[in-house]
Amino acid sequence: MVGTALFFLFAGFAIMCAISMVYHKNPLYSAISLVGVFIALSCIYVTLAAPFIAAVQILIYAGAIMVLVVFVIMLLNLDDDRPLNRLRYLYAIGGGLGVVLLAQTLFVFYAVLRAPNQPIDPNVSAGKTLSIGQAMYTEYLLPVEIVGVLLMMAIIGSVMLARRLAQPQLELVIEREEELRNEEE
Amino acid sequence: MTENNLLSLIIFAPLLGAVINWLIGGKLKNEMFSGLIACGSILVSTIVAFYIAFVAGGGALFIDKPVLDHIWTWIHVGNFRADFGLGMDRLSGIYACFITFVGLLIHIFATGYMRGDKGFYRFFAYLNLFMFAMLTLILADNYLLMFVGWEGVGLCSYLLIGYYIKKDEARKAAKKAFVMNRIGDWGVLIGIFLVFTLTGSISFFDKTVDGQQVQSVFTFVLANMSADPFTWGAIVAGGLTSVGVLLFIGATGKSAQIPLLTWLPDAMAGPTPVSALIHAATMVTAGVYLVVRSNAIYQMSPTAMWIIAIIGAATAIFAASIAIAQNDIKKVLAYSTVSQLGFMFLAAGVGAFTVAIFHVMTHAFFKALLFLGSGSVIHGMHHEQDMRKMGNLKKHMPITFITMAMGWLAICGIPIWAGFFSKDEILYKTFAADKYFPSGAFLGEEFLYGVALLTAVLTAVYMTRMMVMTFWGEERFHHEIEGEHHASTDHARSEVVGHGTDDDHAADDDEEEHHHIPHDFKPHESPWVMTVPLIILAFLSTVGGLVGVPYAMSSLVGIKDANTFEHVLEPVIAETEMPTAVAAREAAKSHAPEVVQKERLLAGLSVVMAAIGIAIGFGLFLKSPLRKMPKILEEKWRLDEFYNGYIVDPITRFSTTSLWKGFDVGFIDGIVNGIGGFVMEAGNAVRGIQVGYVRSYAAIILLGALAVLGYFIYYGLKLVG
Amino acid sequence: MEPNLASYLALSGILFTIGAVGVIFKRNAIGMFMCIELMLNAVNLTFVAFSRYYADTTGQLFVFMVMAVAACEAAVGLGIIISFFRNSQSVDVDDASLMRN
Repeated sequence: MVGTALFFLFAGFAIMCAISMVYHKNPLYSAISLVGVFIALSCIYVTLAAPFIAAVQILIYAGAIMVLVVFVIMLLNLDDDRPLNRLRYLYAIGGGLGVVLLAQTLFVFYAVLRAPNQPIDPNVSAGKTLSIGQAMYTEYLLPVEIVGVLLMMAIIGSVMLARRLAQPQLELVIEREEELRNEEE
Repeated sequence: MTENNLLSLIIFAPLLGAVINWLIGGKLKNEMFSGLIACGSILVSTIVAFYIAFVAGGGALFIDKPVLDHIWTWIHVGNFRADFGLGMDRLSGIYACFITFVGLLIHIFATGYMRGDKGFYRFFAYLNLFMFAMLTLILADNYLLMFVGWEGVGLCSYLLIGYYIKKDEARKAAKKAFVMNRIGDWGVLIGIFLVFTLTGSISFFDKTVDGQQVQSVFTFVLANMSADPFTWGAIVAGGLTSVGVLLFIGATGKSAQIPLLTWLPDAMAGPTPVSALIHAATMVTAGVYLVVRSNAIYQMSPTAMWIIAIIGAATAIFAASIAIAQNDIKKVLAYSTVSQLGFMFLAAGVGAFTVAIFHVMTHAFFKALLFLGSGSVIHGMHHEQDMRKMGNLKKHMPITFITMAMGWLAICGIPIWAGFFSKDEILYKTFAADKYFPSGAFLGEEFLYGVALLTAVLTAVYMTRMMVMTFWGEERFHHEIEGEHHASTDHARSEVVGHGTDDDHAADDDEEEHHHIPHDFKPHESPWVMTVPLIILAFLSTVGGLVGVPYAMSSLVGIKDANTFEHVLEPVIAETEMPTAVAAREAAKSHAPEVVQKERLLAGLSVVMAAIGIAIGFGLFLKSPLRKMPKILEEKWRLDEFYNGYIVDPITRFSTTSLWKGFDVGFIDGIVNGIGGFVMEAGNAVRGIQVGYVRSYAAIILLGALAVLGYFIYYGLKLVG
Repeated sequence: MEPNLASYLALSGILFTIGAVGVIFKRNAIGMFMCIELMLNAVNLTFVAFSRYYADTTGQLFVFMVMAVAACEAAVGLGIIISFFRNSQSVDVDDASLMRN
């Protein structure tokens, strides 16, 4: 009973925030809405007995990624989305695809409902940090290492992408200034 | 069969000379060097040829079997064998001797004639190459190698006629010569194929190569085949007559008979030594060589021989009639050559093969003499070729005059000059063709005799005209000919060779309207390099005929058998087994009194007609050398215009509109361009897919994802029910 | 009713739909990026739900990986957006159509 109520509460909150995110033209409003979605999802994870994931979700998504996004929005000083649009047909296409996807979701819901019900074993908890840690360092060691490499690639990539090119070296700039000054004299 | 490796020296010495001249002579640009190399190589060939012909192993001209030299095996596939091998038997021995000797004299003449020309080394390289090809042609021991030489002389003829590459006239004449030769080559090639199909061999001689017996075409023909009937159908029946006609088509191309004769007069645009060598003495006789070499085939094909005789006689009188009206000294001689070649084919056609070869040899002497003499005249007249501007040259150029007079008497047929014996034999054998024709009865021999006799008269007339206009009368050096101011085709402009130091027009680049003859112009005699060959040839023209005096003549002075020439060549003529042929041979050998009497009467008649011709010539032209002849003759019976109009132009038009514009540009280019265009259009169409907008791409990705999901849902539906 | 697996899957599907439609609709590059994050989170929810109901740790490990990848993607993607902004002074993705045709 409580579970159901909690579920509907958090689910409703998540959906509302999601719709709000898509609706708003101001990127900052969208960002805050997305944070709301994350928090709702985190709560849902807690109800699903996955405390580790819930914590990591807040830490990483809301704490790192969204911070980065907000930084970028502030740095670039973005305005609202402009209203006019060359690709109006995409609205129709997008809407249609969304409807199709919703239909498919409904089907999945219906199908899974009809599937044989598996009872939850309250003793075995797959979400305990201990079990996650054990799995990470024994069975899934290779993917973890690869994730490490991936993170390094991402760091290098983003540094390369965002640097300013052809940063004039200070010494050369000084030399040039001196030449010009000598010519003038 | 005797092997003698010296034979290859005969053909390779000129080739070596050509290569040396081409590679080194061009760098050195020394006339003495090029001339020495060229004449030296021909001298080597001459000495070797005479040595093998007269001395080696008894002399090729006197032994029964040919002297062979197998250089290497070219093609040997199954039954078909074509070797690069040479063979000198009596026929090719005679040819080799006079070709090398006359060639040597002409080479020496040319060193004097072409002095000062910029392409001196090139000229002699080509000339040596020509000698190589010609000697290959006559010394080859099978049809295919002979054809190689045949093509080679055609090529060298093209190179040499078009030697003055800057002259439009020369280039066109060279092309014309080559194309017409090519049409004839088709005939020869198909003929060779047919020979192989019929007899299984293409070799001239029986020989043993690498232990394998090679049978000659002619032994096969004599042993296994019977004569074709004397009908029109035999021509297309695919038998020996077809071979004969096809080979003769090639001979008409090479030897300028009807219908492929128009290239020879145009070939006079080349230098005079070229005209003398190629178009008088050597290349044009290759057709006669082919016919006489294949005489075994021809004796079995009466229709082919009859056609040869008719065409020979027709060409003779056709060319003679044109020669009367020409004003360019070289053109007169060119048409004279065509006419005399007609005589040779007439002789071959009625079965008198040895007489045809005899006339080839004497003709080589006196025609080369006449051409070289005319070269000397042209040289002395500062490259003026129009006879209307000459006159009284016997005072200024005595040696040339005397030597040319020898040639003139020879060609007219005055005894004892060389031409008399050969031409008279031809006339007699034509008249009596019934008796000597291998297949029995001949058709229309009296008519042919009449035509030939008329041609002989015309020959005397036009040669006398030429001599009179050139050497007698008053000097017309500064005479203005009407219509001379604008470019005329048979004009002296053709020879633009630089002339040494006494020259007031520039070197060979110049194209002038007409030669600027200074007012104190006096023609001068030519230097000794040019007159000595003339003297030698004059001597040969006088006494050269005495090797072939027929019985009827020699018996007049009591000598029974002076006809050395005929005896030498006798084994070359195949002895077929047909009763008519046997009878003909018997008739030729017997010297029955009434036959001898008839021969003497006819000889006398021909002498009288020749004298009448000379008298007509003097009478008509001594007093009025510029007398005009009928225009149609001057225009060569409009044969060139006929060919151009009905054959050349329609083909050119068809090629241009249909083949070039229609097919090549329209269809083939259309396909290629069409493919390109199609690819471009398709590319343009496909390009539209790349919209460039990220959101469209996202939508499409989503679409794809939904499709995959839908697939799973479909199967899920089946599961769920 | 008791929330069972189907409900969580339905919720995930709805969030995913909203995210997908948002990617197509939003013209702002940052907005598009955020919608992609939303889609990723929906998928995370699916994984966790399955992990809970089948008592398998693999699902949660996978979520861990997905989060790591999302972080990298955020870094690199935002770098790209900044470069793009430097070149064209706008983050409208419709302006990034040089590859058109």
